[in-house]
Amino acid sequence: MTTVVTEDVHDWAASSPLVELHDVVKHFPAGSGKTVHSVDGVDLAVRKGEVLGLVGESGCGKSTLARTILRAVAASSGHIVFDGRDITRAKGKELKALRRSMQFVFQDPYGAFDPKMSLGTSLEAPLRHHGMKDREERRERMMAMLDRVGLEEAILERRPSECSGGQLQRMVIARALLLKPRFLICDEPTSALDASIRAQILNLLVELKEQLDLTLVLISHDLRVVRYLCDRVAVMYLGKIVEVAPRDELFTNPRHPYTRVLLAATLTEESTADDMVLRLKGEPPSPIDIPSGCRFHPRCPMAQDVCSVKVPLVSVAGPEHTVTCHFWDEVGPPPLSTAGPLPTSPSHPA
Amino acid sequence: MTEIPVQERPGRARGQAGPLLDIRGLRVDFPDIDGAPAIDGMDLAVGRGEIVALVGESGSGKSLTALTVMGLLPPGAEVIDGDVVLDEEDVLSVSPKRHNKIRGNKVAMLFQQPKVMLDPTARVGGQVTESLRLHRKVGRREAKSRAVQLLKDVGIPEPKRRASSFAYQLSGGMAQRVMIAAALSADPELVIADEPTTALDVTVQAQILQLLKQKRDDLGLSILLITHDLGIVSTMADRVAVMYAGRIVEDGATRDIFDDPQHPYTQALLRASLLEAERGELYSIPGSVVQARELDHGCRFLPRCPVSAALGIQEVCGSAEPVLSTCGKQEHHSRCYASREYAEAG
Repeated sequence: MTTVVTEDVHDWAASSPLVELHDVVKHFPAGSGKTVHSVDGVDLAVRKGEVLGLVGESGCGKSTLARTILRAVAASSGHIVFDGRDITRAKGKELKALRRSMQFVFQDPYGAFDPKMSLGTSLEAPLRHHGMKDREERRERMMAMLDRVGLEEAILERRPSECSGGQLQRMVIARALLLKPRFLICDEPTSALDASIRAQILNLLVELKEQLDLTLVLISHDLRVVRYLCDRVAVMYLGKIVEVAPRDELFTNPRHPYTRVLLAATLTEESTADDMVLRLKGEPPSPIDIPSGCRFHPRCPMAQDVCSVKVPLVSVAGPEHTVTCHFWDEVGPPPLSTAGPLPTSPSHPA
Repeated sequence: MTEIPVQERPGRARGQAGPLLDIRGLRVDFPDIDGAPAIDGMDLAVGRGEIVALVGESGSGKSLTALTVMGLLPPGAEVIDGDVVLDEEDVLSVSPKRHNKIRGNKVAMLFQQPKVMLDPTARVGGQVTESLRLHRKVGRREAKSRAVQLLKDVGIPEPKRRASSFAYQLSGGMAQRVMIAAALSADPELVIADEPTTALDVTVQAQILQLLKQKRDDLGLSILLITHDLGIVSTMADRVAVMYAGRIVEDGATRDIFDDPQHPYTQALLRASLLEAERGELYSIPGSVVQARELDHGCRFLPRCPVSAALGIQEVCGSAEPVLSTCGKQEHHSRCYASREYAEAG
């Protein structure tokens, strides 16, 4: 690795991949001999210590990809490598050990806990399951975690219905981190929450990531959250990754037409009625009947004849910036509504 | 409760005919639950053809306000004071039968989860024309063709086929379009949209918002938009009303609210929704709305207010609730001692 002479050794070590995906495919049968192509050949690496954003519309396969990585569902084909080991077919003890190091934060905090159980019982379950037999030890671990996520002990006696969304999301995060995982996937962790609570949860995630040395994948369709939190961003469309770039590069120099549409559709406090120009018609096509050629072509504002025939290859658009589009180098300047200075996020010290 | 000078009431000073929806001094309480009423002296007006955004945190009483107008208060809730005037008719004092006439006919509502609100066992077409058949006495056959037309009007592809679909066969965006078609079927004058796009993708969100705005322009519809997404407010609303702990703390033209927010709560909301880090940490409003319910006098925002402490006026703020008063610009009101008018008066 002679190309990284400008960076120090620590940075280099920190950027080696923790999770690698090689041509990962997840298909579901849809009846009548048809297939749902939820995840359709994804190559992606998540580096140690980074926050990778995964964005795209509902139904594009973001959540299925996350579940496939975590082995909640088995991949149809391809390979998933975690920390240098191929875990695609891991089972039994190996899989159970793996579950401790990879955890998941769900979108809906209200539905994440058994409504009839006290939160304490729910929180204790993973510790019991993973063989922590000593009651005192379990309690100690839970208390330490509650302290980290900023909750009081009293919450353990309560049921989910007696808590606010913000409290429950803190509990979800506490439960996910209880087993000291190294890798955490957060699926829309703040979409069910108020702006003010959203800020609290994002602050918490940043803080915990630093303290616990976590690697994070953040799934979101809220690009404002992604822009705040992530180091790199992968854009997914209909089962495929169409663009990957470092955060600043993606937001200032998006190359895929779909990325540009997503950026343009994001409303901010500075948006006015003029910004609400419709740039994208229709909804994502069904993952059962994948369009020929480039799968974005039926909705693409700049599609040409070749797009419906030929599948575009991955092109390198810049350092660490890849894009899957025939005309990526003809895409113009970034859309107005997202132009402007980028915030300094905690994961990007100025 | 606080007396509000008549001339200070928002919407009163409007030129021509009165506003379409005029809520005055509304108080809604859950008698079984301790503390101040959930809605406690709410004033809000929506003019004809106007889009008014009602913003605030969860628990501030936004949705309850909508349900009061609809006459759909949840069990245990009770209107204890105030008027809700819709098109010169006090909807709080009408009979349930009359309210049924008003609902759908004059005012319709859009909800956050369109797929949950649709009947899973009935075809979409029938649901779209339900209020049409009820209010306009339209026959079965005509209703069928009207359904297809209504679905077409909200941009649903293949409306004929879609009319015989069930809710589970629709995507979220499609379901919200169906809800809009149903809401508009009996030609209401006011649509209350409660977080209509929260469950939708940004691309679909833009489409739905555009559709609502276009319907306003085409039909002269009034829209009360309830949301906590200030990005949506900025693109959609003509006026903004900020609700906190059961009452309006600031209202005014959208640009005035965003460019020159007067109430500390509005300022805090704006700051919290900007996902821009200052010193590495996002701003969030300390405390919660729940605390406000426990106060029996003084400004409800005082326990969370950074401005009061900075100015050293906690004593004033804690003694009596400030009234909603004009702050400089026309039609811009704020309920705060630190707002411009109060500050200038000394």
